[in-house]
Amino acid sequence: MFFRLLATAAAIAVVAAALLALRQQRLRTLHAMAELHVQMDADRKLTWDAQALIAEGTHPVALRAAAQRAGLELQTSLSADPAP
Amino acid sequence: MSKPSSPSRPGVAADTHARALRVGRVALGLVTLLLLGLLARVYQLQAAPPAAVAALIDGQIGTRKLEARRGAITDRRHRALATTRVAHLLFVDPDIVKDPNTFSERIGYPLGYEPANIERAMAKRRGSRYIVIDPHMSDERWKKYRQLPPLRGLATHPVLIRDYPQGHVAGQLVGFVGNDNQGLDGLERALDQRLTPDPGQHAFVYDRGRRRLWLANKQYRLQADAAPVRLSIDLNLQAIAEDEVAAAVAQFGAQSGQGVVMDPYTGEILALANVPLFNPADFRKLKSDPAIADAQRNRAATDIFEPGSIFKPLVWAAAVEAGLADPDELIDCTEEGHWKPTRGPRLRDSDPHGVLSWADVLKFSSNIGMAKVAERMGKPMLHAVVQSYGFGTPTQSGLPGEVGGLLRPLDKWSWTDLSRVPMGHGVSVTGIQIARAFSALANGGVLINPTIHYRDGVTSRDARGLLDMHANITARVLSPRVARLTCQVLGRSVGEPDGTGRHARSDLYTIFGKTGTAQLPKKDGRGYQAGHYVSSFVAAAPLHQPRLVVAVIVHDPDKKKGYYGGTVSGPASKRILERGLRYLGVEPDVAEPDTPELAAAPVH
Repeated sequence: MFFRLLATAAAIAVVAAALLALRQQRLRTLHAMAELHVQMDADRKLTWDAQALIAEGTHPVALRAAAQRAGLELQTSLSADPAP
Repeated sequence: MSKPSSPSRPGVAADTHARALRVGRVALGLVTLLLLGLLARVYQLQAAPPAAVAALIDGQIGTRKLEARRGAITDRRHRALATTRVAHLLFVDPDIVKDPNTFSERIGYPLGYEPANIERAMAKRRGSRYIVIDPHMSDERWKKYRQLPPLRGLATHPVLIRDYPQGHVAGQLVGFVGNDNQGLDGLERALDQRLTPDPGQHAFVYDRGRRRLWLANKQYRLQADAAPVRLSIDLNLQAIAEDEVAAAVAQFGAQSGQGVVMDPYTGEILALANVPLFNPADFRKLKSDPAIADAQRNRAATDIFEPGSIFKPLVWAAAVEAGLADPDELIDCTEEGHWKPTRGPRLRDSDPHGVLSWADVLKFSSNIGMAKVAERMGKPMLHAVVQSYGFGTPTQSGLPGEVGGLLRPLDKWSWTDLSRVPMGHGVSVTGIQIARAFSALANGGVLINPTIHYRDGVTSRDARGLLDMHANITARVLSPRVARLTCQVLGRSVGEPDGTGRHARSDLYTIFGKTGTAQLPKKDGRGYQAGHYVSSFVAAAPLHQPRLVVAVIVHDPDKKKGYYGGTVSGPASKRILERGLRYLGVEPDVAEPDTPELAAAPVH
């Protein structure tokens, strides 16, 4: 009887330890998710910044000025794309 | 004698066993009850915690706004005209600053702020723990701030700001937002509801040391960025139009100028230039700088003007369509250069023309010839013609603040109007309206709805590059034959050396167009200002398959430098067409181009 009880208690302890480990793992995953979430939000904003900077650097007036500074001559390739 | 057996040892063992079993069962039951109690308590703490526990949990949860992005405004090729980016707000907590004097110097000098101003701001709001030093740090300052050693009391947090990466290009059209990111002018205001995002919220559970643990799901709400708005504008065409209109305004010492570039088949507005130019980033200076306030207006949609002779092709075509005049019919425009209509005051031509064919009346822009044929039309028909082109009502282009111009009702028309309206007097129009009316000539007689929005899926091109434009038609105003004929006569006006539009003649494309010169009315509306004009030119090209319609209107040029529409606005229209068509990849139809640098002409 004693051994049965002992076995039962041990089994319960093992299950409890496993559950605890799983819970701990879940919390770690949740923490990692939270950190990722924050990182994603920051990266999203960095992307917005990058988009704005690209737009600033590539607008027609800036491009023409850059081409002039570099002594380049811009030419249109005719009939490349008929759609405006 | 046999020894009696002990009162059954097995019986004692059985009793002990039974007792142990009972005790075990009771213990098991108690443990089970205890565990169930614990389970119930856990459930209670999770589902409906007592107020004290709930307060403890709430104290561990911190919520933050999850910023969402205001919709971008892009041109037809998805290039950003207005976008949202992150800036950083610099603030100070004076409570933990020991020596404000040293503190303000330590941040002021390296970051480029006046230390005295920082100290003053800190002293002014004594008691506050949040004093903003700079609401939007520039990129340079932000870089310098990050290189600074940590300073107690100084911190930043990210804020969203609206950015206009194209600067002044399409500035009046795009408009601007205020400090709270609410649209205040232009498309930013007109489309504010569509561009406004739905911010979310995220919440984190923190430990006692305020370290972030995990997301609190219940308080989490996902943000929704607003979708971008795609305009019909083409950034390159817009830059070309602004470049050329600004050059014309500068060359002729004019007060202002407008340029409209339209696709005659779809009604899409490809460029809308307004000079003086306006950079939306300067909106904070609107109140302090009258020049910026003046430049802010989208003149092409909000300002009206008497069109002058650019109105003539519309009346000319209507007369041919109705069979009231034939292109070869001879009209006596008088040798003296002036003529008295049946009713109304005397009319003059800029030069005496004598007898002209009806086609040459348009080519030489004779006021007398136009008035003589208008008399055959009569007031009701002339009024109906003007109305059929949509003058007097806004075009519903989607441009904010668009006005409809002035067209008085028929019963208010005098006999003077019968001779003055055909030459573009007595009515007022916007640049958009004129470009639309001219588009009807260019596309074979169909009046289309202009739009500032990209028409995706509505238009398509067939094998010859022709557009199916059925979805945008407002009305048919001319037969294709008469529309084509009118364009050909206007082509002569530009292409022949004695035509009024000769200054717009191109060596690359067959351009057709019409000049217009009208005096500016006095501010009280009584009569005209001597020596002040609106010089305009409306053109399209190539003649046999028009791809672009361009209207250039220059207000109040210096009379000494030139004021005729052909002289002031004609060359600018030509340059816009040449550079625009080359940019679109349209083959020149006059001769091989000998100036390949046209598309990359220097910025004026």
